[in-house]
Amino acid sequence: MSNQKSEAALIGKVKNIANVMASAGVGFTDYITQLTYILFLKMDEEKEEAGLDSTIPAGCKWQDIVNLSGTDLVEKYEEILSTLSKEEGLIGTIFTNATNKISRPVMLQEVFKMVDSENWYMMEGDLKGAIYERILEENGQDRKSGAGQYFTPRALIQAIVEVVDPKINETVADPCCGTGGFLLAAYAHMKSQSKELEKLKFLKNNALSGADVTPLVVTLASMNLYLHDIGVNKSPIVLQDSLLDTSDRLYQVIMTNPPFGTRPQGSVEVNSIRTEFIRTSDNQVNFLQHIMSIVKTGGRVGVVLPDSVLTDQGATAKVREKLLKDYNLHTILRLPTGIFYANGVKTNVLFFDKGEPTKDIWVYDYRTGIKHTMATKKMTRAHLDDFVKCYCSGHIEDRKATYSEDNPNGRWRCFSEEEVKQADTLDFKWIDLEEKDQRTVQEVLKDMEEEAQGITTAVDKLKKLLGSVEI
Amino acid sequence: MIDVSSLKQKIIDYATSGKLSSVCNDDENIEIVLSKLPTISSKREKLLEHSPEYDEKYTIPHHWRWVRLGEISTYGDTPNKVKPTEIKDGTWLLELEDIEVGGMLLAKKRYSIRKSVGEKTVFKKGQILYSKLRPYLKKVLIADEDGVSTPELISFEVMGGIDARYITYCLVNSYVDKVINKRSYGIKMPRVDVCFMVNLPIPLPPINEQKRIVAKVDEIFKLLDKIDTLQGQYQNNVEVLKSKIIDAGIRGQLTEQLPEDGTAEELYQAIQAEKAQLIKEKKIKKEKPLPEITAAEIPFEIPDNWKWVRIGDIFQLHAGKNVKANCISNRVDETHQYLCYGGNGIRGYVADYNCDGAYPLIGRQGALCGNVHFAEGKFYATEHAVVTDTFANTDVKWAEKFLKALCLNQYATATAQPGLAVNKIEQVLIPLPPLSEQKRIVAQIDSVLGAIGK
Repeated sequence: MSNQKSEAALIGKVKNIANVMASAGVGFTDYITQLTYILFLKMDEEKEEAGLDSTIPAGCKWQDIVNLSGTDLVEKYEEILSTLSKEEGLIGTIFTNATNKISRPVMLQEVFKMVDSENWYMMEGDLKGAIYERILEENGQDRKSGAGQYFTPRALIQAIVEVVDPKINETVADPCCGTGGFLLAAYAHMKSQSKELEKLKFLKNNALSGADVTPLVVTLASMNLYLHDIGVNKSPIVLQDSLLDTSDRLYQVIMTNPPFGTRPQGSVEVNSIRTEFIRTSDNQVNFLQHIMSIVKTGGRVGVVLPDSVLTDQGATAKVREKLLKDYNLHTILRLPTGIFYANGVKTNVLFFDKGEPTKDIWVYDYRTGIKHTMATKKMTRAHLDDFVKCYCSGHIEDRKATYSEDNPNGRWRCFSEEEVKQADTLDFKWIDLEEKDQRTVQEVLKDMEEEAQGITTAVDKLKKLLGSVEI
Repeated sequence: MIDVSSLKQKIIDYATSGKLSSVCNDDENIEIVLSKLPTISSKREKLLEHSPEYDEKYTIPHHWRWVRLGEISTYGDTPNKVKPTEIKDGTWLLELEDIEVGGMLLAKKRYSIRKSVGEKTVFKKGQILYSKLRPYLKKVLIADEDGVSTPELISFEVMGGIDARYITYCLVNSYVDKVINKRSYGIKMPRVDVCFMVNLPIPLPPINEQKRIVAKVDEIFKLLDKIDTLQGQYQNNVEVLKSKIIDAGIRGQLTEQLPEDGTAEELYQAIQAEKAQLIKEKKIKKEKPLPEITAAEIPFEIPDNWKWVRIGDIFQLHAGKNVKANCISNRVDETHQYLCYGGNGIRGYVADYNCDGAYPLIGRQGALCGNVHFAEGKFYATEHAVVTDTFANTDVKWAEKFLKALCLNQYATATAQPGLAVNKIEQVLIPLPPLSEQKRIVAQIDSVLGAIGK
């Protein structure tokens, strides 16, 4: 109970300042990034006070700045950001390309004051992490900043992690990690699988890998993991354009939600670096190719992709061909609209393993007739319970379709190898929720006669009731 | 079709003007009731002193009396208010949004489920609740339970044994409607003031007659509601029937297959021959052949002498040309002689035509894409209208009806601006009947729909 209160109170504090910032022209995302930097400095200070080692070089510590004001404050802050961005390890990652976005001294002071008023380091790990996640979620719903593209709904992440089921000795990667949601969820999932120190050490230090092309998001993801006690010495997140990654590193599990939209103008052409790829300007198709290239044989993938990847012809169709030939795409989850920040986006989750060709494809239609909105009808983990149950993770030989001739609107259906070969897209839909009128023309006419008769009788009664009154 | 709601309004008017009831000598004279009314509260007295002007009152039976609302009820007395903190859990908390236009209760929300701010008015079971905000919405009802409400709802009771339900009729008849709307102040939030309401003229019959009137109105409304429901079902069935007839038409179930019709295969060959000839003469474009139809694609059975084809096989589709919006006139005039068809039918008139003849037009942009219109003569088709060319005397009206029945909208792309690509339309399967049967189908559909259309 008190956790909720302090969580709510702190988030309230953060939001209050956000509003002040917004009116001064500092967007929520920028504000959160600056807050992250300042928070980190404070936490380092608290660690030192508690007798632990500080990781920040002298001259850039909390004490060096907290008592300054006015332009002195701004100058020192910018100096610190610049210095720390050049550091190695965790600090360098958190302060990747760090620049100040709060130029007004009074505003900057507000943030420092707020951060100074709390003890963050000693806060329970869960609380710290939860608060930060909440802030990121708020940010994710901020349509103006477009920060939504960094934030996958946690309910969806939970379900995907549960069914892909990463094991504690496996390597897990997210090549477009955004704020680190998938990695965090994978960590929590794997941590509970063993108490052996060696395994836990591997998990903490070597299992997770994340990358993103946007510096501020690398900051947010690193901080997110740090506050959950992951990557305390070295962040598992790197600043990188994954599509240009030629490192040849392979991973056992990949779970990710590539950003929707097109590649930014002026970026290096993917096909020029990754010459083995089929040439396309579609960002998501390129990510699919990348994911296919970094998964180990025998490895598993869960990736969120829009409808266009399932239906487009041309280059996309060629990539699909390769996917079905060299990988076993065994499950597709059709997602409804209204769960991502961008309305109307139609997405699916593709689950595939590397090493065998695709035979049957099981499709779960969680789209037809499903209505969710970000504000009032949010999708929760419970909404995906049926899917997770049907998936039979770890024992897929037990899968049973809920679709049948008697139940044509069953959401879980198996498409045989034959049907898959016949289909020219992967857009499988079959549910028709419109109730078709089953009557024959004769029956309809009879009903109409009865109704007409009923009307005449009622009108006659009415006339009698009204007597001489005219209508 | 009977207009039930306007009939109901008429009934209310009759009820409150004596046309729905009769004299009965056993009824106690209303004057007696009026003489025994309790003393008027000082607040109401003051309001009754300064009566506003009202439109001329209508005629009522001479044993009725005109009175003022504030004389026979507590409307105008100081309301009992409570603060939200004083409201007990489980109390009925009534907001305007719970009341439908006309006075029906949509839901009963209780305090604790509904969080509320601001003071509330207390009301008692049996009181009349009247919304002074937007009075034209006629949100009037009688409380069947104690509760609290938004202060926009005035709660009051009638005295002397006067029938509360009869009074509710008097608050919503056409006369009162008219005078209140004249008087309401405020534009965004029109309200009627308390002085006006307290002085509102109310036509009063003897109490027993009031009760008879209420009973009669109840009976009549029950019948009217029944008529309303049946009419609704009937209308619905008309629509269902229409679509079933057309569906039967496409499947060849509406007409007989006659041996003298020949086969659709013959027609198909004739179409291909004509197309080939026109391509040679460079009158139409050569197109890529469409894929063969596989057994798996066929949606339903058709008569033996029919043939499944693709739209692109037997028609040729081409979109019109863009025309600037400012070149389209709403009316026909000297410069704008020709009808201009867009993606959704007629847009107006333009100076030029780019089609001459009879063609079905398929709309290919926007939410309603896939809609089919029919254009004849010299007209202009925009780039959003796909013109359907027919060959070998294919019946154009048949083409229009069948294209409509195919519901091409389902093939639209699911993007922000839905659209139908021509090459997508060309792939769609359509069942082809022989020529003479085409004409019979059109005639049959028209005559059946014409008969039910009434």
